[in-house]
Amino acid sequence: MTRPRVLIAPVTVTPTKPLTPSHVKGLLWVDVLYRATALVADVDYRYSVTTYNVTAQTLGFWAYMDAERVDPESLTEEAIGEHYVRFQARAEPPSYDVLRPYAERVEATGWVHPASARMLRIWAGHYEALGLHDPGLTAVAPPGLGLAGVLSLLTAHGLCLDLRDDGGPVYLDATRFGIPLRKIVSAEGQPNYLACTLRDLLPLAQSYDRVVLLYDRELHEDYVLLSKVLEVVGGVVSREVVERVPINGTVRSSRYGGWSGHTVADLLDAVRDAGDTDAIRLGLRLYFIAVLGRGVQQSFRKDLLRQSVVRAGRLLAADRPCDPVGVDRVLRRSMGSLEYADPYRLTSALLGRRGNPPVRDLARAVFC
Amino acid sequence: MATQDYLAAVLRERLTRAGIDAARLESVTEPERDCTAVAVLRRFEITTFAESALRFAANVSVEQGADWLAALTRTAFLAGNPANLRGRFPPAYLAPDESIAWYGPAPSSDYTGLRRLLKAFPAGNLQAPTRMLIPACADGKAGPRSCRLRLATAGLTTASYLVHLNHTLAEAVLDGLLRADDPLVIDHVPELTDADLRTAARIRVHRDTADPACLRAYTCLYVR
Repeated sequence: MTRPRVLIAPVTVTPTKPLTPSHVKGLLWVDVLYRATALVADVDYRYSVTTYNVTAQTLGFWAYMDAERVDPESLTEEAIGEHYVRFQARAEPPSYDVLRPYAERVEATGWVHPASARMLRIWAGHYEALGLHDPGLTAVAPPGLGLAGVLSLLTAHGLCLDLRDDGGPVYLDATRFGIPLRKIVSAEGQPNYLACTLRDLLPLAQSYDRVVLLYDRELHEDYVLLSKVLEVVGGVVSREVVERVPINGTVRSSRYGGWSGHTVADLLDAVRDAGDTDAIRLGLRLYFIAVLGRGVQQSFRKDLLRQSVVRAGRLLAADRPCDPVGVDRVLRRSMGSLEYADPYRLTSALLGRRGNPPVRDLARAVFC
Repeated sequence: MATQDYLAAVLRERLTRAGIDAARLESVTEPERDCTAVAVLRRFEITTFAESALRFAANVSVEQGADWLAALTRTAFLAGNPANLRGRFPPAYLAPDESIAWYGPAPSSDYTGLRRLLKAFPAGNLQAPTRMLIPACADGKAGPRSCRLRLATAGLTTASYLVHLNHTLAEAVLDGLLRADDPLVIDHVPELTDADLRTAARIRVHRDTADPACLRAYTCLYVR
């Protein structure tokens, strides 16, 4: 049987602030999706930091760091994030004239400002500690299409309203599907993150049997629009919403900070003595995927995170024979009729009493 | 230079033609009648816009025309691609090149769905040639009259240009002063002079964009 070709394309986290529990949940969710689906399909995991380094929030932060003459080399993840919060708190966003030289440098060479380069190196360490597949955090991975190519393709499909000659922006126009106009390029010529996503995914969508988009609720409208556009050019698209993790009942954007005590280092410190490396990696996945689920109902709780790690240790210690058939059975059950695994169903299966799930086999293949 | 009193008198004439109490000059920007037209534009192009504005105004029914006139031909200018909208929102008039669609005139609540999809047309820098010829647009047959419009462009954006041109053409058509098959020459000048105002068949006066406390003449229409 031919293996389906699947493209997994989650929202890319811009390297300007510390990873929080919301980010960790999303990264673990995608990691399980990727590694489990790779057992039954040919999977590509598209995660290009380069593509999104031309967005205003990243370029503006870089310009701010230069204007403030901050040397990021010795800064911690949190210290870089505190500069980011100060940048976001400024009343006026920087003009595109200030940002354009940075954007041109990114486009020409894939250049990354030292602040974000430092952050990405720190994150690479987090990925290693969490047992995450590194999709190319520090690689130069430009999108397959330039902005002009995107606008040309959109125009050919009747999806572009370009008002730049009239002093206006460029809109993505899916009004024929009942979706409101969405600005993707400012009147000054600055593309937003959605334009970057289109540069990345439009040239890829047709090459796969299924494109799986992962995002959080705040981006829902944009991702409904994005999936419609990808379908118009021939893609087959699934949208998976993974909600953020409330801290003390509140979901807040990282631009306001609020990560104190909840960074990856803090999470790992909280469970360091609760199990070995495999137990910690499996326990994190049990907590962030099976316990928290897709939704936003539960606030983050370190005590439940620790319990999950302890439980993972017990599951891994149970003496069960190697069972490749069992792995396939549990995996296929999580997929339903789709070409990709459902991380929630798959991870929850480890906690079920029925079916005697092959924990160690699954852990080795997917979770650790 | 025309006095403010003279311009106010011209403005009162407009209100009277629209059936609005001319004493209520302060309310000129907010007519009580809820009747609006919507123009959806894919781009700013004067010839196509003027042609379609004339054709749209000529096509509205007598009752619609009276209501629209009483609302001072209020019109919203939205950015959008008419070709993408006609399935869900069939227009009252569509320009032959499908770059402009016209809706209404109707109560503003009729456009809730359309407005939800679209954005206001941008206020860009106006670059208008000195003279433009708007050919007769009724089946290519020129009418018997020759019409000329002088439009003061100093300080106008593309969006405000659309407003003044549309009000002038729509109200002239609804009054029977202008017909859609009349060829029209549009002359763009920085400011209108007293000589321009003296011989005009119709003058459009509105608040001065540079000084909202003052009135300014924006268009003069001549019909021969």
